Amino acid sequence: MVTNRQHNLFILSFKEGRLLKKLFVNLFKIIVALAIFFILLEFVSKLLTKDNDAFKRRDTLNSLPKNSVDIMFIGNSHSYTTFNPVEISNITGKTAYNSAMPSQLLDLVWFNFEIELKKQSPKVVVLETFAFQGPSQRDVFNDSNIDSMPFGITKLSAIFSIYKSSKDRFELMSGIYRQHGNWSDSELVNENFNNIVYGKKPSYIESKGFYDIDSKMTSDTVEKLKNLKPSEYVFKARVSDYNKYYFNKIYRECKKRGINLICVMAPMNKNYVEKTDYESVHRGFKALFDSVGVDFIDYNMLYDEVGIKDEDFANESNSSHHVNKYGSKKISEHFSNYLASVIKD
Amino acid sequence: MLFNSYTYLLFLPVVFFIYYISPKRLRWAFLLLSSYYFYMSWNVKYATIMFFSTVVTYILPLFSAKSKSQRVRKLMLVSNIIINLFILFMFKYFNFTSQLISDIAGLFMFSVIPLRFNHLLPIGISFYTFQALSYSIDVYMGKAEPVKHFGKYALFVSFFPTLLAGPIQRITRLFTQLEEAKRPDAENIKYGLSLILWGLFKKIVIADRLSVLVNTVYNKPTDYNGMEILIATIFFTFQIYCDFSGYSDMAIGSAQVLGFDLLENFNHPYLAKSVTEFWKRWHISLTSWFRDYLYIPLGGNRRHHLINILIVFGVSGLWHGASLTFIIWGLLNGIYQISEKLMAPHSKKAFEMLKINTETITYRVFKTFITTVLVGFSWIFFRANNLNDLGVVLDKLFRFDYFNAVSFGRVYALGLNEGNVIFAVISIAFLLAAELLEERRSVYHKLQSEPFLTKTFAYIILVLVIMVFGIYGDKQAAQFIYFKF
Repeated sequence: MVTNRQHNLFILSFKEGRLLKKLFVNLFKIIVALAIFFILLEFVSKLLTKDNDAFKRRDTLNSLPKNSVDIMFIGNSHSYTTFNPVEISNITGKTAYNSAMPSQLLDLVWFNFEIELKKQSPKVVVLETFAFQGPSQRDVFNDSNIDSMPFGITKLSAIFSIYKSSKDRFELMSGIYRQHGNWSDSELVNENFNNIVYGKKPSYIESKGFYDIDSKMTSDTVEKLKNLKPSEYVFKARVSDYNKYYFNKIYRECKKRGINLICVMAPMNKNYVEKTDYESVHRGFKALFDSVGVDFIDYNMLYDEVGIKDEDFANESNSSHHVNKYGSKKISEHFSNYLASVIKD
Repeated sequence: MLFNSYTYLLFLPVVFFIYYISPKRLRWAFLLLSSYYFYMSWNVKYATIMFFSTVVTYILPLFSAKSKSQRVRKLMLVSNIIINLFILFMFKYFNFTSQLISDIAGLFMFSVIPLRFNHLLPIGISFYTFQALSYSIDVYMGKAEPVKHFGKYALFVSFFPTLLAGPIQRITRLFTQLEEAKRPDAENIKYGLSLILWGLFKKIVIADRLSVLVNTVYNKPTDYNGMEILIATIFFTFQIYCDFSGYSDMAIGSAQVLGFDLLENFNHPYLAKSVTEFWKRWHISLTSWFRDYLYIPLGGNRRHHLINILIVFGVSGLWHGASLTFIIWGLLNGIYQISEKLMAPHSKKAFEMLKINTETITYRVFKTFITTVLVGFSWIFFRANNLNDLGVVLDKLFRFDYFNAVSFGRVYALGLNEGNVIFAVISIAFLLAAELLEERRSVYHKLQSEPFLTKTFAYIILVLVIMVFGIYGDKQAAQFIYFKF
């Protein structure tokens, strides 16, 4: 009797078997239908999406071979206009890549870092701290940044953690919601179609994510910056509870993976720095990074050491915030020498 | 909350899921809560007006049924109708009537300052008032039993799929289903979702696209020539159909997903071969309401039926909006039908004499075309913003200088670019083809008999077409035309 009862647990009646089979067949059909839908949706979304720098950077990142990066830079335009991975690779002998994305703040930096770590195992990660702002707002770059993320848990977490309104969440989950109006732009659709079918060379593959700014500041801008009143500029990057939360995530992930995390602040125009209470901003960053034993290289405190003289700002910057290729060369060289001293094989 | 908004995309599945897992005895309560939430998401305070109307139309028929005196019963019914129509009048017709009195007084050199009742028109008031009144009349006439359960009656009045713009349901059809509160089966869900998809296609792909051009022209007709007005009128003919029938499909589909079978509202009206037939196919729930509760009590076909038709369509015009343009639109449709009835014996004789075969496809297509032209012409009165604009539109249309005035490039400067105009025309052609197919055999059932991959592709393509070619995104979801009635 006992044996029979045990058997009944595993052997289904004819009717139950048929029901179970029907259930599996229906489940299978639903999965197939959803798969077809999402494949076609992805195709249509790609056809209609207007390219911009966020997509170009993501395409290049996606094209990198697995585990091909030793030194990874993360942050935003402050990072990719300042730290030149080609220069740094030449000096350190390690492969470097700048995976920063335009305009992104620390919350998005974290989610993109999470995505990159699925493919890369860097030994050193350099976080540029001008991204210590947030939460991120909706704008074309942040929207494109999220649109270009592969669909998955990380993308959904980014949308739901950063954006609180259901309208924003809905719109960001479906890129086609914002891009669908492009269907009548036949030039765009043709170009995208050719890119999908024939493929296209990733834009930043040679520069390794570095953005080479060739232009210098105009004399008007130089003059304007000299006469800037302190009330005209608020330095937005600073340590806050919101930023600490995402910094800790980055820090913990690096620690877990044995990655050497280094924080840097790219140099800005001296006139800016002098007219804000930069000392207190610097102290805030330093205290945070010291508390967890992370090195902090603040180039706004190292003008003399790097060799940036007062008269150099006009020629070595493109704007109040971004250095140009001449400024970048100085910083990249200095930073490479620093890296060479800390990287151990 | 609109059916074409992303909030409804979340609302319906949540309601479905909770309704599905709720015990049967609580389902009505959950649906009632959901319906009031749905209504209050538009305006909280106006839910009290609906609640008041519900209380009145619940209590009076109940007392009326208990009374043995015919006089008391009649008094109850009349009070019920007066109270409900008074509320409707205050919100919808007070300012119009007041202005009309002032204008008429002005003609006789009297100065009367029009009084104003400055409140928003509660969405759906014309629909739920008519639905509730039909119940009261049915109880009085002995066609329906009075409902004892207040909550379930409140659900009948406020059932969210039909609340904002119908289809106006009858107690005998909907209430039994609400009482049964059965769980939807797979067929209900599939059919309901198909209807919602088709309704969305009609609304956001066709109607909202056509509305861009129609609004451009009709909001300032003085700036446009006869050809542009003609194109806008043709577009409006399809816009209003796709807008309202799209809404109805979504309403019926939403109810179907929850397991409720609602009264149909449209039956391919632009395939009608006469205006009389058109009105049997257009806004069926309202036409049948007027037939049962106005036309038949007036005497129906038994006495002065031509006058009755004119009265019904005049009232129907007024129901649609407090404006002379709507009244003229209603009367014009009444006149069309009266003319058809008067001419029918003569045309029959004429056809016999001329040996014209009325059974050929060519003749039927011709009749359908003429009907659509007549109906399309009447939509001018419906769409014109006021009598002045109506005058301008008619004046420009009847100059018949279309081909002198037209430069085709100008059509693309009416709010829709070339791609969108071409797509609008293609989508209208697709709609008509689908309606022709549907007239012969249900497209849904035909699709169900196809292999899995074929029907899956068909649905996916429809979803993608809606997602890509729909007019949505930058602004809020576009309102449905019939919400303002």
